[in-house]
Amino acid sequence: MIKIIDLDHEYRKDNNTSIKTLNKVNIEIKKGEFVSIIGHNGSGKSTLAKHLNGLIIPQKGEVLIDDIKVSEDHNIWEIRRKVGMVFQNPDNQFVGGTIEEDMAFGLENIGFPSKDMMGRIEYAANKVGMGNFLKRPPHKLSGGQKQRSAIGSVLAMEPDYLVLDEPTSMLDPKGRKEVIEVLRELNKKDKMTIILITHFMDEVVYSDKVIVMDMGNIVLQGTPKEVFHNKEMLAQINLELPKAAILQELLKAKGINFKDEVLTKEDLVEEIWQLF
Amino acid sequence: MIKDITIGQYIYKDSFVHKLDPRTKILISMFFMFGIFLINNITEYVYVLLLTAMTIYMSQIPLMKIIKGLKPILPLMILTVIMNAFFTSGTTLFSWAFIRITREGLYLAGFMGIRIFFLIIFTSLLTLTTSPITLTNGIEGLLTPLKKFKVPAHEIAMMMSIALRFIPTLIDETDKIMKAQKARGADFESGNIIKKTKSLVPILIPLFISAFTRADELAMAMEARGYRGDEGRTKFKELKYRLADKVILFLFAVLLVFLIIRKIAL
Repeated sequence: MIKIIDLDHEYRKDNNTSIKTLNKVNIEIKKGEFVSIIGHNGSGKSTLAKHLNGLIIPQKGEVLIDDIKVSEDHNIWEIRRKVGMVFQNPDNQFVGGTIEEDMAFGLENIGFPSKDMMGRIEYAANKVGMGNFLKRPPHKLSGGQKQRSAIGSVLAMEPDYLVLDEPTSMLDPKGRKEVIEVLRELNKKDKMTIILITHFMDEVVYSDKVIVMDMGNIVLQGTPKEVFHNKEMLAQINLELPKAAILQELLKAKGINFKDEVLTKEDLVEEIWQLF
Repeated sequence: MIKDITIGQYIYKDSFVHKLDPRTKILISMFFMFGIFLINNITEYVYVLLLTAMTIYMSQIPLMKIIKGLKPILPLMILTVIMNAFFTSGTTLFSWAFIRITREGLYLAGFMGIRIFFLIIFTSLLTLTTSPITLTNGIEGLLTPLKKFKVPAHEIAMMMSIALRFIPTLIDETDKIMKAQKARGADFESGNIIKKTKSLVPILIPLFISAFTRADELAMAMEARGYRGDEGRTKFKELKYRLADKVILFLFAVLLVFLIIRKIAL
């Protein structure tokens, strides 16, 4: 379980002004949950993510990963092993010359026995559907493939939690879909805990919990249905609804009555065919 | 077009030479380099030629590839030969105005030419049969004993392999920046050499800025994956001297020692 308690963070812009990026943030994430964190640029969501594996040490408050304190220096390597992180730019997190070398990089770091590495790499690569590309260099892969192998590289280290900081924002729609599908499957099949930071509303509809951030504060928290029901609040901080929900709103304005509010295309289809 | 640049000249083949440990190949290339300067008679160069030909044959690298690799070095070779021919003192064979060619000069020029020729062929065999990443591993392996003298062997190898990894990425980026600047009317083709060089500035500056951003993000990604230098680190591909490596290293070492002793004795 991840516990974030009263977490504050501010950074100095210059000597006189500092900007508060996190303000008394409290979050609990249980094992096996799929949690999405949404918000605009500068809402503090990336800063929050970097706290989860000790890339930023809490200035005030505490982050606990399975009751291990992130704020204590000697815990850092254990925490980085428990919490895997995937970043935004697929190119800038690819360390190895080929997929297998990149997947081996994390294993080398944690002192994993050499003779067992290949097995682990194959296992992780198959999880993300990259098993047939092990010898490929990064520049011969599409964005979606690169990002999937980045996920694989982290999975090879067998983390307990997977944090993804806007993993799809530099991908084309196809790559985006591939990555989200991999994440959903990992969550469902392997009960992997996933913390997805994004600004695409359509990506959060499948999560168990959605956390909406704005100006360093958590403004909304709940299931996707609960969160997207709060239309006024979302409008206030300029966040859109998922595409299906927008369409439903437009149809409602035309005088069509629906039984339920929907978030996904499938649900919307389900609603519409029953209308007539 | 810029994308066609290949990094290194590695050609994949399943040969005996390819399978040798990279450390063996680096070491025997160095032995060869020293050895070739200790030889100075034609018969022995014939032996060297046979040795080189045999290595090429065993490496399964097409001969044309090797000859192609010699081309860029040709001017340097010719220059060395001419310098040696003109500026060595000894018994004059031929003189005209200020030019004087000596017998010793001709000998030296000939040997120099042959030496450079073999040197290039043998070292290019090293890069033709060893992938850049294996080569880096080999260099790390050879430098490891020097860690006692504070040589940062692991760091050097890590830097080299990251540099190799990012070359295609940066070439791609250069291509994009060039196109973007061309779209805004930048002109890279016309003008003299100074103007052409100046026109590269609008490419280099964005390229540098993005390289720094990349370095920053990569460092963070590496840290996030538990990187902390070579402390407690294992290796994915461990280097191992096999019997063939040991035999070849031994033979080359014996040969070199023999050549050195002969040189001193004479």
